[in-house]
Amino acid sequence: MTYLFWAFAVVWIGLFAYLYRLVQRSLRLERDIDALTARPRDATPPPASSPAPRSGVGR
Amino acid sequence: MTTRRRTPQSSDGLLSWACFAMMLLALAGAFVYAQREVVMGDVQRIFYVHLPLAWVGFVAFGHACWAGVRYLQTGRREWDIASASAAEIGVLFATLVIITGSLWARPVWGTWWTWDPQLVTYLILWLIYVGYLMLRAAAGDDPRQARFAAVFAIVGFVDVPLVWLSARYLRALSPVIFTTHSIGLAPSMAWALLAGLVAWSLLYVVLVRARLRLGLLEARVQALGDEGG
Repeated sequence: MTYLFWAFAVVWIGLFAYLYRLVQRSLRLERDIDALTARPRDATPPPASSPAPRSGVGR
Repeated sequence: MTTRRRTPQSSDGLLSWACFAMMLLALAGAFVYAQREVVMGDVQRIFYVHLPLAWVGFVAFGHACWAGVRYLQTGRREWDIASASAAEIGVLFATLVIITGSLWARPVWGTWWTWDPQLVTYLILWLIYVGYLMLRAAAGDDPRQARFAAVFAIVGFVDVPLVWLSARYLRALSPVIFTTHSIGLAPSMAWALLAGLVAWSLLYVVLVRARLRLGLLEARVQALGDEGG
């Protein structure tokens, strides 16, 4: 009975460990997606009321 | 009249529930319905999980091989991801096959492992696909290395018929259950085994779909990240 118990236990532990790994990868992916979607917002130019300093070209 | 379209999420949910129900049935079949084997006793019940896992492992390696062929034909990244997804689940199942086989062999054969032709060819199969996964992980985005990995997945599958044939034509210790004439099992045992085969096959479909979706999403996020610098 001990061998039978361990055989089934190992199968289910292995399976749940794999599922846990998939969930972790999925969560990491969600974080990456959040970072990617946040990036364009950070990169938007400042509003027209406060113009960005012009470069020295043409001075 | 309105028609309801089935989304991938709803079919996944349906599949998962079907798999859960079949798994319960398979467990009931293995522990309650199937009669106790006279010689080996209860330890024989390991067989109801060992054989379906081995079967689904072969299916997974066949899937990896087929997806590898399609990748070489089309060069589309999706096939490469499908091949890696199938091989990953195949290796998981094959690992569980080796462990459950050892746990069965110890009380029945008196040893955890023996260099029996079927066991050796199966170990080689496991090593080939572990090697494939390592190669695939190292390849990253490089299509040349991905092609090389695909060839590895295809060539590796050649070992599957060798495992099957070794049990029949070489002096293997593993019992041969299925022959061309009959199934060497009592009806209750055969039904329990059939439930296990269906349950684990469904689980493979659920897992491979989830893993494939994750792989495709990872590839897209990586491509977006590369575009964004």
